[in-house]
Amino acid sequence: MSRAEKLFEAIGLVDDAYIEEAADAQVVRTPSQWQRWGTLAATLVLVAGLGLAATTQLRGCGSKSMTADTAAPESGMAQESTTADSASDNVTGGSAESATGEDKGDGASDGTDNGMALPTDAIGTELAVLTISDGAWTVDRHTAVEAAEQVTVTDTYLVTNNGGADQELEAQIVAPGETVELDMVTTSTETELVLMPVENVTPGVWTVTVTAADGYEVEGLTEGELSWESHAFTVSQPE
Amino acid sequence: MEDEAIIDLYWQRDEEALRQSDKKYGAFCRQIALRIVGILEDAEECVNDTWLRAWEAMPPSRPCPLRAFLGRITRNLSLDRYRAGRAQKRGGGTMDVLLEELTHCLPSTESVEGQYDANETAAVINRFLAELPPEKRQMFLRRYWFGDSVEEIAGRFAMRPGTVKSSLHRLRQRLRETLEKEGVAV
Repeated sequence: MSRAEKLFEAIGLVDDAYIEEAADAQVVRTPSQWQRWGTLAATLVLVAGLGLAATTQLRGCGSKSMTADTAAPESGMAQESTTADSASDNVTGGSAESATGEDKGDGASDGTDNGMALPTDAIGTELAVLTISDGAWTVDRHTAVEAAEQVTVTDTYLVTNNGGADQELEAQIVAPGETVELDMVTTSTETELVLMPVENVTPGVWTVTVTAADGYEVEGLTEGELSWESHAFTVSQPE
Repeated sequence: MEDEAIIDLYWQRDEEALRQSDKKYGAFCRQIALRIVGILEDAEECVNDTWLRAWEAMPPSRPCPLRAFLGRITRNLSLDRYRAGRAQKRGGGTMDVLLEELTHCLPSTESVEGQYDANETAAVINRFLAELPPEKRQMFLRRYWFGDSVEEIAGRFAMRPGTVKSSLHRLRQRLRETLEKEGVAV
């Protein structure tokens, strides 16, 4: 018996209560519950630049961002600037496509449907779905934490038992060296971004830049070595 | 018929127990078996064998809940049949995929000592499950106990398949960490 079969066998011995619970498991989500989220707090444009090729160059040198071609700090600064502009566009009613369509990294626009056409100016907008050709990285999850209220929302969110709500992105594969942009709508002020490596791939360096909509500020930009990393950032509206 | 009544039939050695079991839980068990063995005829035999095993077990057992009891028998029988089928180089349906995924949960052999003990491992898995939010726990079991496909789970939980995949990935990672932390030999 293989080790996996042993594990499968052991899973078969778990408590009956769990089996019963799972046997009846059924979740019905009601989109109308979106209205409970209240006002839109911010529209964020997140730029995730991921690259294996640049791993050695970037590791430990504090780069802000990287692009498909160079992964150089200078390129990262240019990317951030563009991103801020895009965020402004979004807040004034521009679509995600208009915010990002001209500025994708090479890999992000390489003959694939980047799914960036989703509007970002409405509460409850579904997150952009990026589909990028084969690569090493998955931008796995964006979690909007709603501390005060148990929230039931649509299928891109999960209600958890601690009162939080997970806003999950479709898994996105980002090729080494590519830069992708994700439009996100958040209605909470505390957000956790979780990135994870695709299985069996050696982690490298990634950089994420989050730019808030006009009138908001973001603290806690995430940057680091990718390995099941979870980084929180905060969106606030200065008084 | 209520479970208690079905169990009474087993205790009374009334063969109606088998018919009632099949009527109430036949589809449930057949689904489990089919996902593991991948062949309808084999799945049917596993289910029929399930009623016979239940017949042998009751009495003295009075299982509660009956559904989980029967489902577990089916699962074990199906796993046995899967192994036999694999020895004959027959396809195992989704089982091969499930086992491949479960290899990602396995602790490295260097990290643990001792012999594999199914009950000990199950106890650790129980603790792992207890710490999960209900929905995550249910997703894990729908995949690795019931053998549901990712698409089936997505439909059941009103999620996208990609979300289910990433959630299962994270759960496997967490289980592996738990098994390593607890020093479980698998």
